[in-house]
Amino acid sequence: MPTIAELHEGYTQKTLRPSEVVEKTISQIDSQDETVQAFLSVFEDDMRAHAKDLDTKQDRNEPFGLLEGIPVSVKDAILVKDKPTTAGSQILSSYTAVYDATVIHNLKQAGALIVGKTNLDEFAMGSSTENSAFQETRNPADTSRVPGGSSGGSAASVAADMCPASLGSDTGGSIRQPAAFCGVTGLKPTYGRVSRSGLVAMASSLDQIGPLTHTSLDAAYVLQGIEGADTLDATSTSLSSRQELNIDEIQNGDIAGLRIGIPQEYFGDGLSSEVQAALESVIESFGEMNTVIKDISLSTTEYAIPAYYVLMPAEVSSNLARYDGIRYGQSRFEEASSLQEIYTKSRASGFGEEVKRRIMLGTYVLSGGYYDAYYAQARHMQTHVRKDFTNAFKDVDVILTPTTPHTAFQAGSKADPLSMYLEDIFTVAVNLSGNPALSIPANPNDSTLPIGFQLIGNHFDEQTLLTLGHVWDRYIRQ
Amino acid sequence: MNRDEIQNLATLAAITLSDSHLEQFAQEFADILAYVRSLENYSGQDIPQVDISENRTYQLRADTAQSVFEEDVADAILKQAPRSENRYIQVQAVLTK
Repeated sequence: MPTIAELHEGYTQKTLRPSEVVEKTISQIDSQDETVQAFLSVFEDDMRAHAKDLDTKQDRNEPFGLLEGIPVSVKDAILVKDKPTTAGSQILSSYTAVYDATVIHNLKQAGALIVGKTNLDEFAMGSSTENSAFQETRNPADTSRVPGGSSGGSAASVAADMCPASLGSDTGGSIRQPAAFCGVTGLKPTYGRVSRSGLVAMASSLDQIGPLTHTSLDAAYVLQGIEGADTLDATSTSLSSRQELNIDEIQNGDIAGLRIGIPQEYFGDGLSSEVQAALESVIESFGEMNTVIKDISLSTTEYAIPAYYVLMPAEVSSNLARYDGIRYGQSRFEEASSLQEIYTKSRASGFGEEVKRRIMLGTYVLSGGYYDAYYAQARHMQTHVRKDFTNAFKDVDVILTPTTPHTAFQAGSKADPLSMYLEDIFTVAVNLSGNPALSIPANPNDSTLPIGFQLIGNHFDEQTLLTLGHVWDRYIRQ
Repeated sequence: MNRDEIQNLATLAAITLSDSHLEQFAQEFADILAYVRSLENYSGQDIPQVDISENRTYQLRADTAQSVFEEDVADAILKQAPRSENRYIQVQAVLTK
């Protein structure tokens, strides 16, 4: 499957026809998805109808927008009107979205083709996409392994060439970790850059929607298509001209003099030797491109996960209170003898184990007597993490780290919850601080398992991340 | 954490838990909470807590009833309810005679 840039070029030059691209997309899903299991639903009829219109447009020599006719898959936690949205949970197995998420509205306006909904860990809680109520997605690079999570279906759909782009969501690493495991590019934008209206909420102070693509340039195209202020999400912000993406400058790739910080805390024990070696090679390559490599320290690194596993469950316990078996979704109305029993029985049968675990953990850390010991302390740590990054960005323009400590693990190999939580060790800090971060394939040419490296930027400086990413893509693929 | 504490949490969270889950969660919660208590080990300077939302301007809209969508979605929303009657969502009786 070509990149977004190549598809656009093909449509403009008339070497590619939208209907042919759609048929290729559908046939690739048919041949790949039986083993990969990335999709929960595929919108073949809608894509074909849309492509027919686009064919006509092409025949009339009308200009194509950048995302026009581009197949984009969507994590099944993002609402697409009149289509099922399950969030990977039994409790929403019968739910049909009644409106479009803002990002979907924007993509539709831009003429993108919505391919279908991709699998995820239930309510985006997990790092392997094994924790969906419906199916386990596998890693296209090695189908005995997990694709990462929770946006594992999205990452796999791009990695297996079923589509050039996907939308995922990232609360603690759920775009970047699967991107790294599957060998694709994944961007968690700055908190507030992209509207979450129509995203099934997990932890609202941390959630962001972002793209998974083959290249950084494609990620820039998708980000431009979905970002911006939205009255339906109070936290979304309008961008200043300095914060807006400049695609020409990304393509120019001027990175001379750029200061890249290497935080020692991300390169300690627990980093696998293969990831360590890949990262050293990336750093060396950037060093040869006239950038300035600087060692830095982010002393709060080891405390990001413990703080996250207080703050996130606290918000989960509140956000998931809405699933009550009354207004939508699966209900145990018939078996209940009271209103309270509708809630307890619907939630008992509708939620999976990890969801229950996090709701109850959140209930615990917010309960009287424990609030100060857990929640208040974690909020305080969040301030420290944020300050850590603010200080670091006084000396450097971008921070480079591994995305994950190791490559994709075997399906079924992580049984206890705590070991799964530690999967996000390099990704959660930026969710706490709100900074943008981009995971980029470090070794796309190798036959070994994919390895990702992460670029962390200053607030709203996606431009620098994507420029550096684009330079890397060009360098590694030449 | 013991079974009774887990049961209490389940009640607060409006979730019915099986006996085996009560046992399992009691053990797991002890491990997870021990891990998050490592926050106490942080030796960094004490700094005033700054809210992440500081210096942020929020998108606000007038607090008036209006359809924010292009069409009226009330019927579609009602259709999602497990039980409805005469354009009302049905629940179990809360008050009894």
